Amino acid sequence: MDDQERAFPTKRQKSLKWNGWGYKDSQFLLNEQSGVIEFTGNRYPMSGSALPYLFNWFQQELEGNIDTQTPAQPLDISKIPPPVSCEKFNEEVQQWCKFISEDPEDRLMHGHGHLCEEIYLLRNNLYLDKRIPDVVIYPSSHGDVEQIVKLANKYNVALIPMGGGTSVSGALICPENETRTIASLDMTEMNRIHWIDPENLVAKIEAGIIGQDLERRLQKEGFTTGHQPDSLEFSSLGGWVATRASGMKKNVYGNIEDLVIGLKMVTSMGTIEKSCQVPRISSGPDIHEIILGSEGILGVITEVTIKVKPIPECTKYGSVLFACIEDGIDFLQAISRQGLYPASVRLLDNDQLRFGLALKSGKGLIERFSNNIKKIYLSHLKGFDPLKMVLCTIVFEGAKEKVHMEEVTIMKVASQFNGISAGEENGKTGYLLTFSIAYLRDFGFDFGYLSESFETSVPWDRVKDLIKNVKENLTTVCANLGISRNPYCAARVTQSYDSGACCYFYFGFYYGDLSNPLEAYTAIEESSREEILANGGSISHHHGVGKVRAKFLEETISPVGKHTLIAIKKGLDPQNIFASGNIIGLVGPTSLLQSKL
Amino acid sequence: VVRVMSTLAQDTSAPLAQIRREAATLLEEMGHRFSGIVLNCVGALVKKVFRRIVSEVTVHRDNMSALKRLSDSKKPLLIVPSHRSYLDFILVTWLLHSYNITTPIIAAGQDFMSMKVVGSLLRRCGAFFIRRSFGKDKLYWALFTEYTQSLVVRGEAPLEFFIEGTRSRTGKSLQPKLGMLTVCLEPYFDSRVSDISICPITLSYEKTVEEHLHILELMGIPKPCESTSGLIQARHILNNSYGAVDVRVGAPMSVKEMARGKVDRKARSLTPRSVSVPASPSERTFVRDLAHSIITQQQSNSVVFPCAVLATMLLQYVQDGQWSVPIRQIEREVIWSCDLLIKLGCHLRWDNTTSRLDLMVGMLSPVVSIDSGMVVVDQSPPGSEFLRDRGIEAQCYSLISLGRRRNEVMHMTIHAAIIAKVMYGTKSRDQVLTEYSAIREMLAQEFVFMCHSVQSDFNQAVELLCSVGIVSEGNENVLKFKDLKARKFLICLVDPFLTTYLDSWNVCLSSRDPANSETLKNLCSRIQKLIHSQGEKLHKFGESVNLNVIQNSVLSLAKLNVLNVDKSRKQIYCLDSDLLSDILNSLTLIVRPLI
Repeated sequence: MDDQERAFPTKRQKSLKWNGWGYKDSQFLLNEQSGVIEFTGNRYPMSGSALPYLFNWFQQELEGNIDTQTPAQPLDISKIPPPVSCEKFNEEVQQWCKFISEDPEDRLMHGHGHLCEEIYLLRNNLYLDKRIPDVVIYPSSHGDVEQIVKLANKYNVALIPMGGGTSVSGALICPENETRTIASLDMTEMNRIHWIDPENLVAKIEAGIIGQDLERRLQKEGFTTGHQPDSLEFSSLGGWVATRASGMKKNVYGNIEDLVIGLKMVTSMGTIEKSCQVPRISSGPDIHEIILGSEGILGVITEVTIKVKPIPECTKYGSVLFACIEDGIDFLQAISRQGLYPASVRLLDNDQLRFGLALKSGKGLIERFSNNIKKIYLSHLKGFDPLKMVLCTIVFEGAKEKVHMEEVTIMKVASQFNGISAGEENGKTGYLLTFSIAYLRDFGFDFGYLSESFETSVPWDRVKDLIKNVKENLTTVCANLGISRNPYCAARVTQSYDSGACCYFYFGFYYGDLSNPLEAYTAIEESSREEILANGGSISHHHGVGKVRAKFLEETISPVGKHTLIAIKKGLDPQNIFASGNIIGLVGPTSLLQSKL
Repeated sequence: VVRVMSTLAQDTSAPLAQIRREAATLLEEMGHRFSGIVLNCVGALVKKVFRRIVSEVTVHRDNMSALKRLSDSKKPLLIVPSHRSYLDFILVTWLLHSYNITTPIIAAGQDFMSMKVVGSLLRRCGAFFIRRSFGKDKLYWALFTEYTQSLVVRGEAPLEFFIEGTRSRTGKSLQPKLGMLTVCLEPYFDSRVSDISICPITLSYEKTVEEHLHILELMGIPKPCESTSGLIQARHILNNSYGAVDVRVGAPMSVKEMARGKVDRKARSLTPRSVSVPASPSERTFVRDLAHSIITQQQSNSVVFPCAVLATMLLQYVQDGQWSVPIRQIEREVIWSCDLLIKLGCHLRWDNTTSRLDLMVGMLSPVVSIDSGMVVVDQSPPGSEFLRDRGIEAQCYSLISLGRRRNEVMHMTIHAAIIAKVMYGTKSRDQVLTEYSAIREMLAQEFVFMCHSVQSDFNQAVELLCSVGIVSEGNENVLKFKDLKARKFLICLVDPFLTTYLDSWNVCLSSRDPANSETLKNLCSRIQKLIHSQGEKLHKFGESVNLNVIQNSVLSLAKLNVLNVDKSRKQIYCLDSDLLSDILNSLTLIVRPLI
């Protein structure tokens, strides 16, 4: 496939940042003369526009200051240590697979994901003495992968598969004490759609395809998977399977485990797969359940047969304002009780809503977004406290009639909770902003802020308390750590289920007055996770375990549960070729993140 | 609550509506009706009264700003003052009000509710009323729990309650009551809140207004019911002076910090919120330990007034049979022992007013007076006439009165006192520790000890005694007293309790038919009479007729598994005589014949 059509080229650093999120041409920049933040490039709805209110928000809510800038350090490539090469392995691999690289930039690009700590280290040139892959291999077929895994077992080379590299669990971090050669398997060359079956509505696709490419190409044929994680632009199909990803529209299409019909994974013992593509099977414990969420410790996912649907006739957005978060959550619970599941329902808490308002610009949708809110607020909502109200955004999808009916019923339920429709545009804007918001973290870095998101799933009866307690706990921990400025913490409820919901948090804090920012960051993250678990929440809803949450695994799934996973790992990979150490490998924080700083 | 109501409806086959009505009445009875205006009016009145009866109220500003921050943050906050007097909650509310801190909602005993006018005034100042005992009333329990927890969770105002449950009649801290604390902490165990802060407050009085009534109560004469007319009759209080009051706000504690590694909140997440879960063993242990540390903090912030030191010294003379002491001599003794107490870690309030001997004596009146150059302990003081009906000698009134004041110095000295008691001859540190812990176990009902800190309390006390030169540690860890005067002082502190315990246990051993059961109250007053009839020791120890001490001695037998106490019926049964005589024998070995 032509590079032009792909989300990013084989050498991904040509168009992607090496030390930050996304495309090089897109970023938030502060125009110091005007005090206005601009979003550069032309890829997103927000691109090229000035955001006159954003910096003000940053100053007021986070006590941000123009004088405390912490710009990223330029890459000093000479400092990247030479690879631990296994010549024979490289030679033999090259017989099968022509793309193989020991270029230091390539190696660095494949040695990290997008955890806050990883980016912080990269920006400050502190990643350069970390363990990174020694060689990057770009297989282009299932057969290639089978040969590479065989050779890795033959020469005792460690393998870490990588798709889009958007992991936020530390899954791509190389274990610091790994002395063998580490080879990163860049799967993105494996991006073919083998076939689309319009009769059974399934498609067989290579696992390395990037989400946006998959969608674009399926849509050309009139289909969609409907799977839309927030990382859709850069994450890969195989990555979704390996982390148990969740898509925004799971209510209509399902999460990745509901979408998958067939899987192929190459392990040290050979390829594991089913011999039929059936809607359901009773064949003992499902082997797909071993592959889903395996985070690269059991093998390489090479092919996925996934459900597709015809592009829906109609997509409609909606939004509802509630006086307070309790009303909003009661509304979510009420509609899920009634079995009303529009494609997506999200509840933004007040902090998140106010942030959304700060993103208004001089043009286009976003401008109207804010004006609408204001208008509605003034005309109808007297009595809604702007510091308490929350916004629920909704996506309806499907046949026109069904969408219409859903919309009417849902608005009726909303009014029972004193919700007031805030119009279609507000809903739409919320979803369109998703992709560009991911770039904000790098802006925060420039001004001395560390920020991250984390998520969990929790039963309905604990949603409200969990959100309140996690936010409160975070403020307390930050104060105890001696962080002088206000930390930021916003929450949203992003998914509803019959028995509970997924809660998503953003947090950020100023690290300028800390001697060891990463230690503080780790303390905050772990304390938040402890609070989540104490509140009946899960270790993760869709980000996965990786290394940063591994210490909470055993208490989550019981010692016997962990033992079961270890037994499977030992059985499938006796030499520990898939040596990333995720999920069960390292208990406690990774040595990488603790050392040096 | 809804669930409890529907179960009740099923169990008693009463209509749900009726139970609802019942619940509404109960809530009406419980609830507070806070009103700022009433608070301000009452506040003004209180200020006037205080001006009249109290010479000064000293408030330490330490931790006050931390407390203000906590209350401003609207996060759950419990205010837990020590309880010596009815003035406690008035003072705390008034204090917080004047520091611009949200005044607390106060859990008060229902006794006050029946007071006309005053009951509803208190309600409007933020008090809510709970019954003193409601063991089996499920509906009441459910409503009380729900009401209290909603106050904690909403966090609009701090919740104040007394962990000792009632005013201490003896001047010593009472064993903490765990019920209220458990109910308050449940929202944390349940993760309905992310943390709860607890702020202990210590109020130390030079003299409490209730002194006379409390002394009578300790000897078995019941307190009059709280009533408005009683309050009006008690206005003579206004004509007396009760000296100084010292208020110290303790460092706020975070329940989350204290529970780290001890309580796994996750364990409750497998049960839905709608199903109530009884506190787990680890939660109960945590609540008990937390209660003990609250009391310990209250004690470490308590202040000793010189008049209490004077009382202590006078008692030591009385133990030697001397009821009057020359002024010069006692003055020297008081200064010497104040110095010793400071060394042992007491906060002593030594200033121009509190340190004048005549004023000290005034604070001990009517029991102590000055007569021709001598400080005299009255052997039949006014007030003691109430004792005649019970056949108790008048001098006991004085002894108990002075004993209450002496108890105020015991919080900080009890460990050293026990050590002094067991340290005679040549004993190694380890042996002293063993004997110390035996005595400590014996007195566990009398004093509040942290459950797991035997070793550390002991070590701390020994280090302290060594560092101030009272004790020295020689070869092979042999501990030796260097300061014999201090030793005698310390032994005199703990002796009255040990003697009373041994006497009381001997009475139990010799006079009981193990098969019969008897009420706790009966047994205690029987012991009181028997000890009293032996007579000779009365000249020494008021504790021998102090029903509170006697009751503690019986309850500690229950802890030692010598007898069983049925808590709900307050019945005593099943005395294990063999075990008791074993225990008595081994203790007699440790506790050398009294000085």
